[in-house]
Amino acid sequence: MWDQLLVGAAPGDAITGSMLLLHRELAKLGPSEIFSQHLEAGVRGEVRTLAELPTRPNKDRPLVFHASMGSWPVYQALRAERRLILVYHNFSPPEYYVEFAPEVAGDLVRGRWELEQIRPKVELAIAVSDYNAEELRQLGYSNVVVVPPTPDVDRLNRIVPDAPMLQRISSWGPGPLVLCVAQQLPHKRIERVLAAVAALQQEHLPDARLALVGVDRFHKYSAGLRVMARTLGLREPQLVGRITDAELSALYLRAKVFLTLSEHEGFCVPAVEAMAIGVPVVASARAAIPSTVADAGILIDDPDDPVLVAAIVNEVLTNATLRHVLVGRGVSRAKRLSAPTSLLELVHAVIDTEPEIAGRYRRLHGVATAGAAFEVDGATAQTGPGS
Amino acid sequence: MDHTDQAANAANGSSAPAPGADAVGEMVDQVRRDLADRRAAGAIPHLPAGELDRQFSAVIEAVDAGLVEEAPLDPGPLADLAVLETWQPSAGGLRSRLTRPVVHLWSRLVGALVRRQVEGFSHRVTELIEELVHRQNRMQVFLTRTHLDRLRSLEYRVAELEREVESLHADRATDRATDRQAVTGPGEPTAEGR
Repeated sequence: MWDQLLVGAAPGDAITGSMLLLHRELAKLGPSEIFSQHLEAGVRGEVRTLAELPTRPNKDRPLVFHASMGSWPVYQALRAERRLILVYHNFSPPEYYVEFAPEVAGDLVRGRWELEQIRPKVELAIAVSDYNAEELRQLGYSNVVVVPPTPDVDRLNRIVPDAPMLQRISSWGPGPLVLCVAQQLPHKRIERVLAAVAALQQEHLPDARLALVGVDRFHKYSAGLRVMARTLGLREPQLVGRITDAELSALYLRAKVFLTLSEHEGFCVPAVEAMAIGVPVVASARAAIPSTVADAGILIDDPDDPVLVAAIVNEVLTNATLRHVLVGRGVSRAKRLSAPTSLLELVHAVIDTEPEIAGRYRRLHGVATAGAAFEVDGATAQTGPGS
Repeated sequence: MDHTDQAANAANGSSAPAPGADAVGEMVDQVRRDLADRRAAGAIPHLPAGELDRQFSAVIEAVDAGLVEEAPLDPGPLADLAVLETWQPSAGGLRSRLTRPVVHLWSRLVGALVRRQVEGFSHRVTELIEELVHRQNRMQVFLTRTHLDRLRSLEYRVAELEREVESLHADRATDRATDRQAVTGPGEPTAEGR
């Protein structure tokens, strides 16, 4: 019933996962398609190319555009549309990419300009966090609905952890495992994590180990991380790269603490995954991370101090009371943020743009309420023109 | 106290009140205070602002220069290669079946003689290669660290010089203002003041 578009789709990507969940719900109402400019092999069966967008089945309905990166071809395609629903997942700060990938920095700068240009066509703007909503307001959007993304974090609890990965983790030694799940992107500031775990090994727990899960995106940055690990004297960091859900589940199962010191996150799905599985979270108090983690984790306002981060991680690893409190709160928090709750909100936000179909969907699912109430600038959402 | 805090209390078998939201903050504050005390006592050095950024920037420069790109050498199982295998003739064919036992026996005999002659040599070469790889890796780490330290110290020096330049500019501006005041006299409005 509604078609969706994004710049890049990849298996394991949080935005792609969220799109696929929304797609499955929308497909219950009628044929729906997903289109992407770039798509990796793992999603080819479910996602069509940008070139096929003109043949999309629901031309009379607004196109749901998931914005996370600027792209000239996608912008041209959006210009040809009459009505749009914008789901804003946030753009990474371009300044982090100038040194490592200037072309990406350019895309990110242009992306904001493109969002300003398409504003008159946007009937509904959905931000995945308050932080993102504020950015949209700064870009001139006045009708912004905040709906958390729909991370299917429970999928990791439903699958059997990968046995070879469990064996591999055992071979790293008996020390506590510090887990960081983040693509190797400059704004994720993975060098902070390396420095903090090096300090943890040197000051507190010599046998602590770091596992870093994340795809190597820019060679120079990844090479810098490897050299940084060596010069810091970090013992046996495990750079795991791209893995399956079963392998990720094994890592979360064995992890004693989840650590992210990113400078910029639109939401931070891995932190929610960690909380859902019962791993205490230590994170930087940056961008949208505080609103995602809230009081269920420890937020550090000075992530550039590796000795401080190491001392806090050590406290989480060694203080049983603190661990139990964080695990309990984390599980509760993840339940509030997981797909069954937020997906419904997202579906309602989209289908409310067509009241007749919204009624049909509610009858189908036995939803008695006359629409989900969303906060828009302190008032209930109105689905009028976006600008 | 919420239910998760109560659960934590039960899990610990403690009768003391479980920590609430503020208590978690209190624990973190305690860690901060301890760290500040250790720093004040000189047990841990103070970290200059932006130190991590400077270190990583130096690393990226070194990567750019191609100085630290090569991963440490891994000698692998060299000792296994030092043991000579006995040659086995391929199976199949009448000729092969006839010659196989003789050739195999001859190969084993020659193998035993050669192995006796080269065993000591090959093991020594293996040991030397492993030692060289070990030294090369240590030297590479040392050179990388030295290079990065040098880059960092240069960056510190540049930052120092920039601060000096700023200070000189500020002093000069103050001197000029004092000179102007001396020329125009106290209480006289200056050009900027009009």
